Amino acid sequence: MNVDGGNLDAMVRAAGARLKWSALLAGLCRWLALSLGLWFGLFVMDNLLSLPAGLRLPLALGGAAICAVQLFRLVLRPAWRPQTPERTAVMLERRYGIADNLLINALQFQRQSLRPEEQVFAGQTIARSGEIADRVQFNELWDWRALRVWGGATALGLVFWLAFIALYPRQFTAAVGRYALPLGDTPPPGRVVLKLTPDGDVTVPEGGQLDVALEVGSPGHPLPANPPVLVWRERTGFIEPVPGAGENLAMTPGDNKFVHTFANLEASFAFRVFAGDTFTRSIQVTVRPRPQLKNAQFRVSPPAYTGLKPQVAPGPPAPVSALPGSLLEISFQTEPPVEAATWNAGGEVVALENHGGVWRGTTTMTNAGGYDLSARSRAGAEPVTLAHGDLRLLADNPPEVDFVTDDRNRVVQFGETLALEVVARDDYGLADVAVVSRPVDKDDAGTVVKRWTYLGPPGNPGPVRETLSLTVDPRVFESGATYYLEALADDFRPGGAPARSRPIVLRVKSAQDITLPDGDPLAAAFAELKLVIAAQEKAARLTANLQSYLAELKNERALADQTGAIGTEQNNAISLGRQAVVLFDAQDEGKPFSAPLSTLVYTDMMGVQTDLRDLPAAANSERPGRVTGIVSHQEQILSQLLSLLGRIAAVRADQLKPVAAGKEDPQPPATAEERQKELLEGVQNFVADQERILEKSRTLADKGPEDLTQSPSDILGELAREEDKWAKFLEEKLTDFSKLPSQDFADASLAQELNSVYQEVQPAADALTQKNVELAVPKEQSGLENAQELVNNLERWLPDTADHTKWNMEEPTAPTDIALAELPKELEDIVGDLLDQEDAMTPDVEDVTSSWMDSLDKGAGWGANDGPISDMSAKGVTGNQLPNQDEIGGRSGEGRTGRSHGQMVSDTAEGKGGRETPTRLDPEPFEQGSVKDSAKDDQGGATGGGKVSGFAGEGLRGPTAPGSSQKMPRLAEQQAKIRQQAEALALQLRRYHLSSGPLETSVNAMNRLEQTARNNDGLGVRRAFNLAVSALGEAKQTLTEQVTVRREQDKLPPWMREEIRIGVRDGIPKGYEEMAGEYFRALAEGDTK
Amino acid sequence: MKFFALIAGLTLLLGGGTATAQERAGTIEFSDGRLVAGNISLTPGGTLKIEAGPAMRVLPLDAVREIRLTPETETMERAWRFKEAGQTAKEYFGDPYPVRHLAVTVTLGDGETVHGHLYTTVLYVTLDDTVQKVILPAKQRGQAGETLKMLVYPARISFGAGAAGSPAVAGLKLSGLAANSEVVAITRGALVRLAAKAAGGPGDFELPSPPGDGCFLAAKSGATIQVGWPKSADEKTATLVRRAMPNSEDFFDDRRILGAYLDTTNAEIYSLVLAVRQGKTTLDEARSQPWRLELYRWKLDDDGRVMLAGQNYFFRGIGGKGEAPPAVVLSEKLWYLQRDGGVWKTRDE
Repeated sequence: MNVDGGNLDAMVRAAGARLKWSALLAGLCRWLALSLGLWFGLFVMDNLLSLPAGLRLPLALGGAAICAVQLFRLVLRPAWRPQTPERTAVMLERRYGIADNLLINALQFQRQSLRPEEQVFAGQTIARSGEIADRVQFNELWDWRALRVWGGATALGLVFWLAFIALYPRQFTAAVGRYALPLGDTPPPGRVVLKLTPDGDVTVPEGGQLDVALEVGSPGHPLPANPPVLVWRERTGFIEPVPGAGENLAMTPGDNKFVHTFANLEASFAFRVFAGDTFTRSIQVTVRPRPQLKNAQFRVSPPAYTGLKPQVAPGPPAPVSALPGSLLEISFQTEPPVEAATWNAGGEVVALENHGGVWRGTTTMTNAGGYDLSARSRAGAEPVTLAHGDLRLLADNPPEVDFVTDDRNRVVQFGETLALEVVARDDYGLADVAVVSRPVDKDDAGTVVKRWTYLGPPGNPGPVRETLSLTVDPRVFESGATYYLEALADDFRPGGAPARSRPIVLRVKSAQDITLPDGDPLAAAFAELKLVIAAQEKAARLTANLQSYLAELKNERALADQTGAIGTEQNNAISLGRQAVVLFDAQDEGKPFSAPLSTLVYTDMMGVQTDLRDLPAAANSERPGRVTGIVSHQEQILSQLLSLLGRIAAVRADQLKPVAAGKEDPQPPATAEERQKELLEGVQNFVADQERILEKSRTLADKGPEDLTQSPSDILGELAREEDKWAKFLEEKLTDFSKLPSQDFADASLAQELNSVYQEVQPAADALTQKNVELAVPKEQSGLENAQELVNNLERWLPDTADHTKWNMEEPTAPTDIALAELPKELEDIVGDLLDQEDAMTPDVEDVTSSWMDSLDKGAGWGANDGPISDMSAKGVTGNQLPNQDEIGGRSGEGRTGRSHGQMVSDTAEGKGGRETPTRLDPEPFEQGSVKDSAKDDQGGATGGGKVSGFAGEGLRGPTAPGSSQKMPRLAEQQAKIRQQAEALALQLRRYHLSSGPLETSVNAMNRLEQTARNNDGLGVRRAFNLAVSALGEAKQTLTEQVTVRREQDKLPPWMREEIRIGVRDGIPKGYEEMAGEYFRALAEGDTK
Repeated sequence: MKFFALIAGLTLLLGGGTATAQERAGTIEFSDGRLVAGNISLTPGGTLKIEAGPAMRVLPLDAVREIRLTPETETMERAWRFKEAGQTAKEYFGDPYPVRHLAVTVTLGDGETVHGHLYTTVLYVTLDDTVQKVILPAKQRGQAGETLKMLVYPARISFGAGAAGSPAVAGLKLSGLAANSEVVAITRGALVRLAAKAAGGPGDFELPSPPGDGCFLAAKSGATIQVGWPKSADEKTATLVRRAMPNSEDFFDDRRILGAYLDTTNAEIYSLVLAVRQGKTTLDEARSQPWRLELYRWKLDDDGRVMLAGQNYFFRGIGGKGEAPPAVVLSEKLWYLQRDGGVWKTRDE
């Protein structure tokens, strides 16, 4: 039987659903409450404590595990577990205390087919269950208590969370990130808000820069007092969040933010910024390496005219030097490969082509300057500079050409033949060499006398020697005129001007100036020949006139008159010629000359006469041609007559010697004896003048007061002067240092001076009256030799006049890289007696300091003269002139003492005299090596750099002399001597009841000065010196006034005056003559200074 | 004078405690492979002087990223002497010795490379308590019997990161100048002459190097030169310069002081001088009289004396005898320059 239990089953199902939902809701609330509470606690803890990653990880994992377990236990498992009626029945039986499993049995009974005997029991059971089911209140099946408790807790948790998110969103976000990725680089939230740019990892090209900006916000709080600190480290991808993880940099405040720029990046690095109580994430900066050049090379093809083969040189970034017009081929590879490459030189951009990974390009060298090699790594990328270098243009120097002769001033006569030798050379090859003549008074190109042309290009680099036999032809040279003979040389430079040699001045004697020696038997014939020439010249001039006015002489008669006049003169020439022929024939020596003269007279001149006679009868159209022929014929006759005259003179006279003076200098050259005599007279006059001056000075001295009054004043003058001299030791005139040229003494050479020659020079007499000359040289006329090697060794001559030239050069506009040529191991030197007196070295002759510097080789000869150019080739000689007061640098052996700041390469200093030079501290380095110093008469002060004298040592570039401390005691000793004299003088003054106060003040100051000098107290020296000199001046003034008063009262016996005078004289330092002279002069003129 | 020496001494004394040389961490690699690492510095106050083409570059160490020295020429020489004075024949003796000339390539912080000849420079390498001196030579010479290989030189000096990225050029924006004006700047202190190039737009110029602590500016247009100079005349300073001028004799015999400016910070005076050669020159041409518009820098002693410390020129020309030099106008506009990034502008820009 079936028991109707439908209501029971429905009740159980309905109850089961409620029970399940109740459990689910309660579990969910509980899980939520637990989870919200747990994470809230973790978030707060991290916010407060900035938990490290090592702690955050287990906490995050633990929190997540707890939540997961609880979720499973409280929510998922109940949800997943099916709520079967049996389960519901059991739950109801438990809840309502139903015994005997009544409900579950009733449910089982309802689902089974029962036997009849069982149906009774089942029916009862079902019935009872139905009764019980009727008692079940569904509302009671919800677990209200659990739901209220956990629901409340969940709500409370949500409230906290919402409040947390609303109030502390940054902290919430940061905590989420920090727990979500506990090992990630999420900075903890702080009081300040940091916004970093860039905010992620970046990649920059090598050499590029990275701008870092940090905006610091501080909501509700004042900004931190300290600027943000950027912590960075190279070659790492991550910076630990501690300030000590790398180098610290304080960021620079900018506009509302802090900035820092990483410039010129070479290696990858990472950084993060710390500000206030927080920091940013670590930023990884990856530096992408720039392409590197490989196998870079230049191939330089010089211009074709040089004939040079192409040369291969190291490629970029090396500098490349080539002649203008050279073809420059650039080739290189890059690692890694690039997309495009360009060559940029002087604004000309050449796109290079890729040939199988090798970039190639070609350009023509036209200008010097810099070049850039740029490349793009990929299309659209910014170009990067792969290399930067210099293009240098080599100079194709003009040829050098000159005559090989010492005689450049010649007087010649017609018919004379000159043998001239020309030597020429060129660095790349000569094209041609020519000799031209041109009158000195005409500024034209001249007439080419001879030209030698060479094959090429490339031409003959030489040196080539060509010989020219030049006959002085009247058709080329004018009688009595002066010509320049110049040799010109051309090379194959495009547009290059020919080089020009030094000229030879050729003075052509006129017929009148050509004479025979006195007593020559041909003198009469020679004189007659001159008359022939004069007559022929006159006839030629008339013919020239006729030629000029021929067009106006239409009338045959008028023309006949003119030709008749010419014929008369030509006839005169013929008559004179005949006589000359007779006279030459009369002498045996003249016969060789009569034959050519006879030909001229009887053939040529007569021919001209015939032409002249026929001219009027000629047709008008033929006349000009005939006149031209007559003119030409007459010129030819005249030329041959002049040649004959010169030839006769040359044969009959001794060979003419070239002389410096020509027709304009009627004075015959002075003989050696006469010249010596003149010099002697000049020197004697000079000596006499000096004696007169000295005598005059002595007279002035005699006019002075008595000895007593002289001596104290005198000694004061000496002292003041000595003080003044001594002061120069501490004085430095830095003015000229502003022009010191830069010089490098990397090569600390030491050379012996073996070939030292003393050259005695007789001073020129006119040196005494030589005018001072200023040579002001603009930049346009300054040039440098810059010899890389010393090849030439020109002979030197010392000048025979004192320095009367003031060199004054305009400063160079740019410094020059001067070569450091290898110096000889043994230097040559020439020394002579000084021609100059120091007191004669007025400002009119002192050269002006310049910063020109050169390396001279050929340019250092011939004469040994002064000048303002410093020289690095140690080619100068000591000479016989006093050094100027200008600054001179460069390298040299020992020379005269003077202002210099260069390098002494001589290994010995023996003292060659010179000028007193004040103490100087120049900027040159102290060098290796030492100079053996045996000089005894050093007068100047200490100097700056250079080699140390006396002991070996190695110094450095710097202004302080290592031996400066030795100088002060020396000065102290000098000062002590002066002080002792001053003390003795003060005692004398006391004895004679003269005021000695200022002098004694000075003595005290001197005493202090000595002490301070011994203690190397420079400031003390300065103060004491000022006081001593000031007091000395006062003492002198006081004493002079007193002396004037007491002059008439002087009653001292002569022996005492003599004793004082001698006592004062002994031991007085020399060099006070000028001061004493001034004093005497002042007394003699009644002027007390 | 003595006083100068004393002042210099005092300066050294006072400055000794504070003046510090720039130190850069770096490594020196020698030609024999030896390495020296440490903090590298120059002599205090020192710089790297390089003859680079027609100009000399003076570089501070902190602008340098790398220095490479490479042999330019290497030869074996023998000691020699001229056999006889006046004759070119040489006589060689002794064992050969090596001679090496070195070229330098300096890579700056901004990637620019400077190639040329380095004036011999001393580097100090400090590591812990030891200081090692390394000389960067321009030329090396060995002893007789040595080989080139034995002549070791520093081949590469590399510095760590942190080279100052100094831009290679600087912009100038000067409105109101006539077209085709030539603009020249002279830096303060070192008096480096920077000839500006036109850079596209009107009034836009580009200096070949940043002017550092500032510069003096001049613009030439035709026969007129404008020079940036303060308006207020400082007659006292000009008098000091005028008195000192005769001590610095020069090629130019007519030097007119157009302005004197006292830089109190550095105790220096700058004077603007129009220098003209009126006297005869060796130039035998119609135009034989050079002129220069120059800037003189004077050191001012504390006792009021001034000494010439340097000079350079804005513009130079050469005129005929009796021809007037260009007119010089002092411009206050060109005096007040302000920097805007890499561009220097007048106040009106």
